[in-house]
Amino acid sequence: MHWAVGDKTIAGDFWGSVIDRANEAAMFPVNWARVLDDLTAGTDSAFGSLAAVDKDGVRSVESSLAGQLISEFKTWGPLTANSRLARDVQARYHGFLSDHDVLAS
Amino acid sequence: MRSSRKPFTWISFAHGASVGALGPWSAIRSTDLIVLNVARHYRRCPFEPEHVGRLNAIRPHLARACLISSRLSLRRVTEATDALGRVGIAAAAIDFEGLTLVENGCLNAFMPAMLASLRERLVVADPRADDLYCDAVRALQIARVKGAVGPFRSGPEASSLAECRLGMEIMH
Repeated sequence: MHWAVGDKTIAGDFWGSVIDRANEAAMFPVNWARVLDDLTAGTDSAFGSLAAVDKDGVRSVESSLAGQLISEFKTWGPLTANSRLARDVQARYHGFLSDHDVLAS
Repeated sequence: MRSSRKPFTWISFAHGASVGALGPWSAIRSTDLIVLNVARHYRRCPFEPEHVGRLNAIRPHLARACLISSRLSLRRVTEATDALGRVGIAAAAIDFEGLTLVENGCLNAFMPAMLASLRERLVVADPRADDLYCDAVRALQIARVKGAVGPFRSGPEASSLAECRLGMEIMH
């Protein structure tokens, strides 16, 4: 399987490898960095991050650039909950949202 | 300085700081909430539908792996501190903000003579020692921002701890 990404073509094996690495990361969290790197490369992005909230607290992992961004973000003070994002998450339970989707909703 | 009246969200921050636009979000909801996002420069947004579609195609795999990882990581930290406690070594796991995540019972023996508190932040009773501890936590934060520590540089054990850190903001 091949997918077109802009002018490039990425072999389906690439995404198969991403899935494999994600499955490995489930057991060995250190591998999430590589998964984020892969997702970043596969979507022609700059960086990625992953955060999880459960009853025990909040955990996140991100690329170093995202880490700097989040550190700066924290210094800006308390957040306002984004009601549009919450609404879109409810409405589109089974997919990814872009900020464009959120802001245009 | 941002206006105190303007709603402050992650997206507004990302856009306002000209750092780049936030990419696709994923809310994988059961009893847990997991958000995975990628970002690129604002001028190159919005994300192309094929990119969103590609992430959606592997979303079930990512969701499953994220959920397993989320459930296991804190358990590993707890087990590590418990194991140290069983051999009589006091131990606590903290996040990068210095907040106590888990501690073993041996630490209670140090209270209140050596430790003033275990709630939220670990507080050393001696002010000078506490200053040193706070300096160490700050050094860890700085090193993390520089990429010198954290899941990208550390081993799996350290990674489990490094993953337990701030991130509530990104959930909103």
